[in-house]
Amino acid sequence: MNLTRRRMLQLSGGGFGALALNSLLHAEGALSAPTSTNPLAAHPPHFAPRAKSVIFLFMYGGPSHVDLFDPKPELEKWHGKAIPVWKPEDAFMGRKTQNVAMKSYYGFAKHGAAGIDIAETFPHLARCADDLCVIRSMHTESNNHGPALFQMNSGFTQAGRPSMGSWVTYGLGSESENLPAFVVLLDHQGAPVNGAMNWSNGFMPASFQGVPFRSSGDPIAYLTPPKNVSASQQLARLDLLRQWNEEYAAANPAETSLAARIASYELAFRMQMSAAECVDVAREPESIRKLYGLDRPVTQHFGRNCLLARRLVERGVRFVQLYSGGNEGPKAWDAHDDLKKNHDLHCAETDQPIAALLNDLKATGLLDTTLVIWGGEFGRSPVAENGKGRDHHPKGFTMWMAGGGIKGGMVHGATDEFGYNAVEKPVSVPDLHATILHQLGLNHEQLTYRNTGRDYRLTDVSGEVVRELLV
Amino acid sequence: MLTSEGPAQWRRSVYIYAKRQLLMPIMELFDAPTTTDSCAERMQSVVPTQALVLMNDEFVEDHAGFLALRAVAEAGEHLSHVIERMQSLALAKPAGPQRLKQAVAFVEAREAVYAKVPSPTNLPRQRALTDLAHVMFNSSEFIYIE
Repeated sequence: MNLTRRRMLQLSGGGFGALALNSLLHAEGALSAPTSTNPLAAHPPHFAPRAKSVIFLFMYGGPSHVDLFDPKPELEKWHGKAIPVWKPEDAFMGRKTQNVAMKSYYGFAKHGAAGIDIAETFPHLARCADDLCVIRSMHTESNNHGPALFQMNSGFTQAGRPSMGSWVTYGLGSESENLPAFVVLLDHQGAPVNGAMNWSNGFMPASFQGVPFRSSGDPIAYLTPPKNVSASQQLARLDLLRQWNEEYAAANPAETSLAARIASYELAFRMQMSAAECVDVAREPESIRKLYGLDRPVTQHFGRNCLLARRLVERGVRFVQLYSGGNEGPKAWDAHDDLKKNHDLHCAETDQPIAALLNDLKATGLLDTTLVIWGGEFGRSPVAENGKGRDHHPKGFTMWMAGGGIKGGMVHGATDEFGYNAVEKPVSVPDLHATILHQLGLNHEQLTYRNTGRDYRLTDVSGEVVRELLV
Repeated sequence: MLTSEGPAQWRRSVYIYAKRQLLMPIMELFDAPTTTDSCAERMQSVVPTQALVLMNDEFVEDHAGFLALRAVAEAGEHLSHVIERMQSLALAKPAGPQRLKQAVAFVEAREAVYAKVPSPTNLPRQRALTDLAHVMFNSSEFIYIE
C-alpha cells in the first residue's frame, strides 16, 4: 500500500478529532482518565495490577491430570480393580465407563528446584518447572464439554454470559490502538464445541467480544478490500466518507456514537495494516521460529499460535486465548478411546511451543506482566473407558499458571490417592477467575455489569482469590 | 454449503433461516441477540470489525454497483440527476447543493482516474458511481435512524 508520510500521519493521528487523539494519548500514558465515549478506551483498574495481559492456553477436550501433572502410584496397585470413590453418575460415557482403575501410561520425574512432578511427555515444559504454579485441586460442575467450556470461559454452565476475556476488556479497556483487545487463536483442526459462544460478549455490547484470528490468509475477516478495489480507491472513498460523517456528526452533536463511529473507521483502516503486520511471523528471526517449533510439522500450528500470542501481548492486546484441540474426539484432548495415542499427539504438538512461549516471555521481560494459564474444561477419569481410554472428569483436575505475579515452582492443593476428588485446598472455577481478575488489578466483587435487573459478576455469587498463589 | 450467493439468498434478516449454534457472523457483529436467551432490549455497539465488513465485504461492493446501475437506468446520463437518484434511493432525502457539489466532484475525479486505463471492460463512470454508492452505504446517515 503506497502512503505518503503526510497521509499516514493524518490517518493515524490528526484526522479524526479529539476523541481518538485522546485515546491515543492515553495509550502513550500521557493522560490518566479516559474521557471519550469509546468503550474500548483504557480504564484504570481497581488497584495496582501485577499483570497487564493474559494468555490462556486452553487444552480443549480435557487433558488427563493423572497422566500429566498429578501422578498416582495408588492407581498401579488398584489397576484393573474397582476404586471406592467412584460414582456411576460422574461418568459421561455411561455404558463404556466402568469402575476399573487404570494406571498411567507415562513415567513421571521431579523437575526444577521445587521438584514438580511432570510427565515424560513434556520434556521441554519440564525445564520450565520453576516458573509453574501447578494447581492440582481444580474442580468444575459439568462433565459435559459444552457446559464445562461455558463455565471455564464465563463462570456459568449456561450459554449467554460474557466470557472472561470480555469481562477483562470491559474492566480495563484496550491497551492497543491498532488491534482488538481480546483475540482468540484456534487450533488448525477447527473450533471447540459452542463455537463463537466460547468467546462471546454475552449480554455486554459487541465491542467486548473476542475476535478470532484465522490461522492463514487474512487474520481477521474482511481485513482486505475485494480484489478489484485498489488501496488508492479505498483511500479516496474513506476521505469522502470521513468528510460526510464529520459533517453529519457536527449537525447531530447529541449523538455520541457518531464520533465513535468515525474513530472505528480509522481504527479499521489502521487494523488493515497492524493486524497483517502482527500475524506475519516471517518477520521473526529464524532462531525464534525454531524455538517455537515452526520448522517441524507436529509443532508448527500450535507453535505459530504461541508465537502470535507473544506478538499480540507485545502490542498491547489484553487477553489472548489459544485453543489446542478443535472439532471433537481425537482432534481434541478428548481421549475416550486411546489415551496414549491421543495424549502422545497433543503433548507433542504443544510441549515445545509452550516452553518456547514461557522462555521467550521471560527473556523479553514480558512474563512479569503476562499471566499464562494452562488447562482444559475438566480432567480425565482415573478409571478406564473401553479398556485404554479415559472419560471426562470434573471432580478433580490440574491447571497451571505462570508469570503475572503468580508464584513459580509450587504445587497447590491435592486430589485423593486416586486422583478422583479434589480434597486439599480445592479451587473452584470462580476461585480461579477471582484470582485471574485480581492479578489484573480487578476486584471480582466490584466488577459488575447490570443485565435484566441484576448486577452480574464473572464469579456470580462465589469465588475467593487464592492468595497462596500470589507472589 | 453455499459457495456463492445471489438474489435467491437475499432476504431481510428476519426471514433468514438461523441455526441456534451457528449465527450469521455479520448479524452477530451488528449485535443480533443470542439465540439462547430472551432479549429484552437490543444492544448497540460501534466496533472496527463492523467498519471492516462494510468497507471490505464483496456483498457491499456488489450492491454499490447495483445501486449505480439502477440510478443510471432510472435517471438517465446527467450526472447530478444520477447522484440525486442514488441519494434518494439510499438515504430517502435530497442531497442538497453542498453535498451534490462534493459528490459530483468526487465522481468526476474518480472517473478521470479510471479513464486513464482504457479497456473494453473498464467503465469509468460506472466504477466512479460505485465508489460513491459505497461511500453512501458506509455513511452514518445510512446506518443510523434519525
